[in-house]
Amino acid sequence: MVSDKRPAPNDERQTINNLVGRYGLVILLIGLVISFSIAMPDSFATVTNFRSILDNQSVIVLLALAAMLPLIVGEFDLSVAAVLGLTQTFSIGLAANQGLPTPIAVVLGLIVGLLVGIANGLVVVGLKVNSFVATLASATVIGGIVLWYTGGAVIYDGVPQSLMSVATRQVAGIPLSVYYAFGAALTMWFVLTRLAVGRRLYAVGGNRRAAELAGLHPPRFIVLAFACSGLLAAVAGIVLGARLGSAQASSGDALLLPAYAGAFLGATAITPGRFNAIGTLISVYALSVAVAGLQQLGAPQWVTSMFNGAVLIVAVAASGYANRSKLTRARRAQLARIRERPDAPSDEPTAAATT
Amino acid sequence: MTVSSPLLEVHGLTKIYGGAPALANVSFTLGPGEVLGLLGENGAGKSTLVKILAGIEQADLGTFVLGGASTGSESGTGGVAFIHQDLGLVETLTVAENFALTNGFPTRFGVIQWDRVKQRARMSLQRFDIELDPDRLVAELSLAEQACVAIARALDDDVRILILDEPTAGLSAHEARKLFEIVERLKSSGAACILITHRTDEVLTVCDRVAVLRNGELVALRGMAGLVGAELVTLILGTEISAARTADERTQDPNPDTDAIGLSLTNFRAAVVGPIDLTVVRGEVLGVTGLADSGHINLLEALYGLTGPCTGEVQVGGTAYRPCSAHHALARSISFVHADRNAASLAGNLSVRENLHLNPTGGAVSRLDLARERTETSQTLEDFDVRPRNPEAAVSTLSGGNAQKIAVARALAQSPQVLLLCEPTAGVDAGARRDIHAKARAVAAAGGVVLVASSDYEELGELCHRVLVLHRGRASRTLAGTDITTSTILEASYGF
Repeated sequence: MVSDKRPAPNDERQTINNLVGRYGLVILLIGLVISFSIAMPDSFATVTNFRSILDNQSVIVLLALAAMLPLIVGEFDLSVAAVLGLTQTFSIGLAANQGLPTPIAVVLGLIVGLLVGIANGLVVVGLKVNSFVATLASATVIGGIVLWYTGGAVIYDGVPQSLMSVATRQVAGIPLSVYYAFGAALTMWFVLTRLAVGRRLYAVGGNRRAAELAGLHPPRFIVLAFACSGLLAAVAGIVLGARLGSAQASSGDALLLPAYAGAFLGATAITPGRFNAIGTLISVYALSVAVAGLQQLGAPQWVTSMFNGAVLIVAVAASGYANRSKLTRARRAQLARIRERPDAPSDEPTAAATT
Repeated sequence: MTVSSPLLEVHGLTKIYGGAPALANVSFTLGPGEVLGLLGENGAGKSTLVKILAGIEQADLGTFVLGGASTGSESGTGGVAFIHQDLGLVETLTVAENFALTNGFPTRFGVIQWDRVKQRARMSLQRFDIELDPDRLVAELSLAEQACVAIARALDDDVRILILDEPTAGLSAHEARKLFEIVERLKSSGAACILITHRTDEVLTVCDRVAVLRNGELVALRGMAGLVGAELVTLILGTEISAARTADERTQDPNPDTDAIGLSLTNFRAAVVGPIDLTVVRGEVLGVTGLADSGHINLLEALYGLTGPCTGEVQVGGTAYRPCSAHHALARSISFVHADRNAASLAGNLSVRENLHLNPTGGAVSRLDLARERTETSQTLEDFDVRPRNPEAAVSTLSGGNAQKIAVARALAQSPQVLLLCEPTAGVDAGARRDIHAKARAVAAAGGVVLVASSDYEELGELCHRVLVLHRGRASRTLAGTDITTSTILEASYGF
């Protein structure tokens, strides 16, 4: 009851801390946009530039969401970029080389991604292979398959316009790819925070044993997370192929790290300490605005890699810190209480006297 | 070194794990040639204390001084040897290799001199009159021989304080006696020993003084003069169970409906328990207890379907029930609270509200009713008197007692027919313990069956109508009413 009566400065500070924690990334994103716009009103603050950032990053957003789902249940999927490469090659190749109609090429691409995801999940829960190793291996296998199919060549001849317009057609001045990215993020946010299955996924990631004792079957949710991860990576792959109008074996390689940077940085925002869809969406765009702005200010190409790598480390450290600081506060309160307590009973005067 | 200067002085050691004190302000001293028995229930803080002394963990508050020289919990802990229950030997290596692993390989020009490795091991063992071939694999040795190797190895260095954690677990009486001969030899050399054990007879024969921890606090520190076994047990457990008081409390409970059988087991076997026959009527709180290896926890886990296949017949509310999974058990209105709340009950990084609704009702795509979750959670926090009253606080920030209340509250949410509680109040403060007991009684009063697996005899006396005592997986005795006392439970636990 005593603690209820003193809400004063401590609570207020905590509320501010919470707000900064939740929306810090949003504030950063807005801050970056405003400052780059002021610095470069002619090149940065243009509709074309914003449209191109939105469009360019749609693939990374989808891939980051794909990486995020297994992370929620406490597993890694390092094959998301490889699945992206596979489905990109597969759909573009089927349409261009085999002449399949666009809808069939797209659906087959999605199915392949889904199947790879399910296979990853089954290897992890069925064969009990560490997901890090399992998906690193499957990524390598997929890379080999793609190389085999393409023979190392770029597929660009005969890609039907209908396939390219899947991502490039503009609605209200914005390409469809952006709608996919935002649609996927909002859908996942809804599923994860408002549906029972979302709670169960977080429960499995939070404490697998506790989830099991609460009546859940964790392997089912782990396979589900990998399956959806594969499907999202497939969407990313098809969008990338449609945007570029081409496919090549190595296209996914450079995208894995930005995707993970986005997922981990996303876990520091909106619901700090927890992987979440909106945070991931915002962090991908915050990262890309920063990179785009720096490049337009004249920073060389290699800054992008350094920036993404450094952000991944900072993001992981920050999300760990967010969790630990909650614990530290609770520990401090306990320690203060023990300090106030008198010494433990002891019928040994020497022990008591030396204290 | 003079007799008066202590080998170890401990001042106000405190350690917090996840918001709850594992060790609170513990102070004592240890003199040369002294054997200190460190007693306490599981979770009382013994292993935390030992880990700090051995330098594995750091104290949050307080210091300790070794041999009057080194100071502070951060500084070196040379001179202390800690022999864990699992001994820390590499079973696939030989005795000599195990010695060399910690004590160094003698080399010439960078090449290991194996004859000297063996020689050293043989000499260390002979200091304690242990005749063992250094070439033998540790895996081939008996448990007692392994324990001797571990001790001899630890004392190879300049060790002044030896900490033994349950060294006689799994040893025969004869083997244990041989082990304690080594401790005696150690004493006469001026070193000191801290002995962690659950066996009161060992404490009485081997120790010079005892330190008793309860819920992280040092509740007694005294010499052995005039101390008898029963008194020791009382020190560990707290107050002796007063039959009068518990009888008084029990009369407040509505009488169990003796006609309605809530749970019955016939020739029930699972993993390490059985065969067990048992009938529990609705409205009854049945305690299940025994020594650590008696299987009292396993029985409840088996009923919840956690320990794999089981045989025999189980009936819940008059209809047959076959334990197979938690999901299946919950569908039959059987709830369970695990003994280890951090490992198996709660997701620390999720909020209190989410932990109470860890597996929300409904299909995968059914919508969460967040508003209802919030009001239900606030109601639960009120009912169970959980502090702080914040549904969105992460469970990892709660103290042990409050966290355990959340674990119990979730099990009670669906008003279970059968409630299985494993060590429901271990490491929980007195207030939380009272609240949890009240809730368990309420389940029984509403016509449910409550099974409480506990090694807390006081708890059994307060809470239970009857207590089933297991010995090596089988029923040893069933105690009821005023027969439930520390001594009767202990007797039955040992199979008398």
